[in-house]
Amino acid sequence: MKPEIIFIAVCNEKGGVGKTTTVINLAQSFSDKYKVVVIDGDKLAATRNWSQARKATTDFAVLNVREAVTYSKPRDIVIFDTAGGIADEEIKDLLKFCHYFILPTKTDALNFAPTLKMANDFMEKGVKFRVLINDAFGNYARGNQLKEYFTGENVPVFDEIIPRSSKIVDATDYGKTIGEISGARHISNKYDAIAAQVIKDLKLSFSKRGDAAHGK
Amino acid sequence: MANRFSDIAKQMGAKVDEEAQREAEQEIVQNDVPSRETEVEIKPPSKPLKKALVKTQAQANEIPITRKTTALPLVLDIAIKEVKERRNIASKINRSKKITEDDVVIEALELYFKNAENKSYLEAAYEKLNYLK
Repeated sequence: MKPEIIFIAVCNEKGGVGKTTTVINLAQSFSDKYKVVVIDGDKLAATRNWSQARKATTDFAVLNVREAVTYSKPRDIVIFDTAGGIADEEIKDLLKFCHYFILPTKTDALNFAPTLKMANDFMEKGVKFRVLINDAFGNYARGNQLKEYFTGENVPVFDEIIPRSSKIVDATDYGKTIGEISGARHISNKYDAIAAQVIKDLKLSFSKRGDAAHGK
Repeated sequence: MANRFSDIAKQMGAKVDEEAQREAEQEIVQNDVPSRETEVEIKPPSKPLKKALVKTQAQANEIPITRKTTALPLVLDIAIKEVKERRNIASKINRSKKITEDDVVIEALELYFKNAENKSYLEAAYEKLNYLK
């Protein structure tokens, strides 16, 4: 049976791996077909700061924890942006209701080790998740190397790798999604492909936007 | 705090795994109940002498706190003398008006506090100024 509303958490015990960038751009990709709500669970309010820096409206709602409690508009997908250094208790809490987890990571050893630890925990618990390789530099060589390693360890990884790009920094600075930055269409396409892979993993197939059960 | 996200998710229409929630709550409750060993540990010592001994040891391990002084440091007195002498010489040359004791102290303090770091000296200096008033 298909769940009424899909809950996705983007988390990693390590901070600075690109969680907020992932949340914003995936929310944009999902919002082509679904009604999306982003909940900023980070005390530093990175996603909220991004939406406040933004001058245009978004195709998805960005709410803080207080606003989320009273939000009554329809939604198909709810994405939780979590804080870096998330506590074990908070992960346990997310495991109670989230249908899917995205673990963004960078390609250096400092980021890779905590991601692998979390991935192993998730695999032991049978959690549905994928690792997203962010900030891949050097013509994807390091990213591909990391992807091969994860695959060898049976850790699910997204097919697409997000490259290191100043366009991503520009988008964050100006409160834009990557698709709104000129010359960054290739990165935006990658986020679309990642969103499609999530949909495929969750076996979702809504025919049109807002087809799922709506707000209560 | 532990159910921060699931409480929001419930409001938003999520089906929260109640069994997992109960398990988590039980874990928290179990963690809250102190074990017998802990009780023994937190028991007050039967002999007050032992308690006093522990306190003395703790005090011995503490880094000694600098004692606050109300007396002005000797260097400030020297500074005052230095300012007075300088002023006296200057007044003879310039024939300027006679300066008050307060002016001397203020200038001495300015001279001294260029290098002063300890706040307690500052407090002491204010006391001295109040005394002069």
